[in-house]
Amino acid sequence: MRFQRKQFIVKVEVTRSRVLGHMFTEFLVRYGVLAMALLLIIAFSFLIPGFASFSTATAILQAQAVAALAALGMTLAAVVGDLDLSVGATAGLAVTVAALVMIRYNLTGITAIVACLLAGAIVGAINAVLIVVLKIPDLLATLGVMFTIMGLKKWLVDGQTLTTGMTLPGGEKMPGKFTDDFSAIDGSKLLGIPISVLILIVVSILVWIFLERTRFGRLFYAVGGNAVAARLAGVRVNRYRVAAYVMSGILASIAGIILASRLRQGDVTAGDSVLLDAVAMTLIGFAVLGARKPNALGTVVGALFIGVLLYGLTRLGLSYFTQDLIKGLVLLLSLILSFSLSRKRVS
Amino acid sequence: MEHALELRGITKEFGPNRVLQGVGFTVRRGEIYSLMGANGAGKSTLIRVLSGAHSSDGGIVMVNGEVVTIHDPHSAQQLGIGTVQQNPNDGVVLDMTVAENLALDSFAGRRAGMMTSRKNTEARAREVAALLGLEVTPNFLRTTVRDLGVSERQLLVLARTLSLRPKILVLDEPTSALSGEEVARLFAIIRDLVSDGMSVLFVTHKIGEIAELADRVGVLRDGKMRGEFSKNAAGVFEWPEVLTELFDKTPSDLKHEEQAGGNEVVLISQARVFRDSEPFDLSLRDGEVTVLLGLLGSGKSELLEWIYGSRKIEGGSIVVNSEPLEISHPAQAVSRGIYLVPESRHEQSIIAGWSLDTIMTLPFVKKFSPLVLMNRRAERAAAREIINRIGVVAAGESVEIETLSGGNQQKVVIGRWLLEKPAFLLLDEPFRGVDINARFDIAETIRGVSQSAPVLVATSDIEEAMEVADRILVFNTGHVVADMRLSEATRERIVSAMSMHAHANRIHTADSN
Repeated sequence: MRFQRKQFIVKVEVTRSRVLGHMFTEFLVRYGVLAMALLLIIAFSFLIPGFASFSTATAILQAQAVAALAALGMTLAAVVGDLDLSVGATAGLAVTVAALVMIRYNLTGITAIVACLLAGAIVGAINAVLIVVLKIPDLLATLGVMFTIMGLKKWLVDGQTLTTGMTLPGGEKMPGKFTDDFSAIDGSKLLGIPISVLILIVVSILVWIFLERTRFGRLFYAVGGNAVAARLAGVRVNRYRVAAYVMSGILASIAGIILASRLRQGDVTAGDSVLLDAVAMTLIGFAVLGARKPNALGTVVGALFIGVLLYGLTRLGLSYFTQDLIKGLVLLLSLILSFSLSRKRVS
Repeated sequence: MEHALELRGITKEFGPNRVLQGVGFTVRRGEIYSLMGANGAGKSTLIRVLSGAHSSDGGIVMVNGEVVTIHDPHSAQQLGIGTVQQNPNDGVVLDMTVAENLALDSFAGRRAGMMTSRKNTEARAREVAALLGLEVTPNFLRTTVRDLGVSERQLLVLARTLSLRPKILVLDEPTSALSGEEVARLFAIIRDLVSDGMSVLFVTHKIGEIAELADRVGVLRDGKMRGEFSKNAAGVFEWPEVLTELFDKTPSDLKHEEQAGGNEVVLISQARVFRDSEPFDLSLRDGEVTVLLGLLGSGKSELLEWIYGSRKIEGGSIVVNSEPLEISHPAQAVSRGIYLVPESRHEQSIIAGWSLDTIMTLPFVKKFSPLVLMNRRAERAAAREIINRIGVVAAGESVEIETLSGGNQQKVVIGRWLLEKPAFLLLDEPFRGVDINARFDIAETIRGVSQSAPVLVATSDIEEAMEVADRILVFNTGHVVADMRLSEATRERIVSAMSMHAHANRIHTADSN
């Protein structure tokens, strides 16, 4: 009770400007990222002819679809309290698997998709075993898995980029090619929207419903919020952690499928940049609406924010090699919004 | 006369929680002063103030008659205050070797050189170990601390603290991880150091150790000093008086009619809590509240957690409603209607930032999600109903749980189990950090549940036990040493049952690691 009285006195004493300052901080914490995104869109609309158009919107979404899907997977793992650093490598692995299945073994596009999803689930399960059963800290385990998979995908194709009709150093000619249906994932449109973008939209909505509206989402957040309390409330903590990693692996492999469909070859370096983008999107998501925790809406907003910024700046003549610098600065800014300025922090 | 350490009016608040409310006492030079207090009395906070981990909100600390300010752990060391924390892992670096740990403080010292060598390190480590009379082999010195048992870690921390040559040694429950022989050795060392002029503040709740070691004992309760005792003419403490201060509160009107008890619902047989404790049988009835009264380390929390499936003990079996209970996870207990309110609200019940209704429904999310989608409206309505029924003071079911007072938070984590019909309710220290009004409401709620199911309340506080119990079991060293109806129970009887066995009381975690 004394505590409350103290707060009251403080409130009476603060000057008008400090009240305004406080309100401004609160506004920044809740709406900072959204407001900045809106300002950017308005500014680019004036500066870039044709920016405010449907085709620009789909182009931005298509450019970010791969990283955004990986980021949604990473968000699921982050909700149960762990960081999955293997999402980029898993996406890359899916590219290699797709190329192997279709180019080397000349199988169908559907087979390739199933194989990719399976590969993602297996990587997720390996992460889960390392972390939940063998008790390795999440960052270290997924880092180890990341390196292993990066090595694995090179080894699978002898360090070569698998392209249609190529001949291996041993003289073996690749019989197959990326099938038309597989290539259509990123290459064709439905109702004027690329299929890859539709996939992103559908997956985003599903992940949002899962986390915000289902009991499993509630339990995921409980595990991440306080695993001990969750267990003592009768929650099977380890099962949910395993589920989160498997789901993260599957989402990363969906990202990889889209990337493969875009590249139409088994590029061994594919997916390498996905990890950092996904981390940035997930963490920017912390700052959206002052959530201060991983959340699906935030991650998607983070993806859009980065997408708009990079697209606009590139159109204004910014060279591509400054992109990482910009992403890093945006990430730091959003971390300041969610951790340093937020007053929700319990001392 | 000049005192080694003097505290006056120390206060410390954490939000609305006034943990220390003007604590003052003195430790004379060359004296062993023992500070006693039940859980939540403020002992640990006081030690953190002395060791520089917390700063006090008010009051003064005097060392050798001079007022000092303890900014941080380093300034505490400079003032000659050496502290051994309760958890030995706070005082060692797990991934360093024994030698490196023992020599750590001399690495950090101002005179330390830039370079270290194994030879120097081990030589220094031997010096430090010698302070405790520890024999060290090169092999032991090269062992990683992670591979040591709790008791060995505890001794390392002690040796490290002593190597700083403190003038005032603060020990927080130093023996909880030590074996009998190690305790004897520790006590001999402490006596030696004291005869050389060191002063000791010895914090514990083990009567046997105080009787053996202390010159004076002070009792801390609810953040205030309740009394100080010296030995009588015969050279012993008047234990009944000390224990009365430890437990006594202003008389309250929380008396109740004793309930007669109904059917035997829970049968526990051959339960063995610790490796060297005697197995015991126990039956619990509905229609009454049974209190398990024992000090920390008596094994009462272990017993409750075992019943709930969140811990293994040495052996035993349970039958609830004529069906054997064979479970290994709390989820199975919850599905059988066996519910536990854990001891530590913050660590074990509350999820930061969650609203009252979601905290309440967490164990029963399935009930509130017919398919998979959560029915928020039903959740809120159910939470609101409980909030009104048990009188939670809150602005609504959607506010964050941390905005409530401790007592209301406790009501919420108890009230969650009323969303279903409990078959057996377990509560571990449900009155801790709870104000008097909330205590009354909680006791009412607990007694309400007991109408239809057995209720087992673990506590270390006699007054709380008398307030809520129909039957009191005094628990000690992992088994029941007294079983009485409320009408037969007097404070004197309980105190004598507790102090008679207090010497044997010890935490049995030393070998389990």
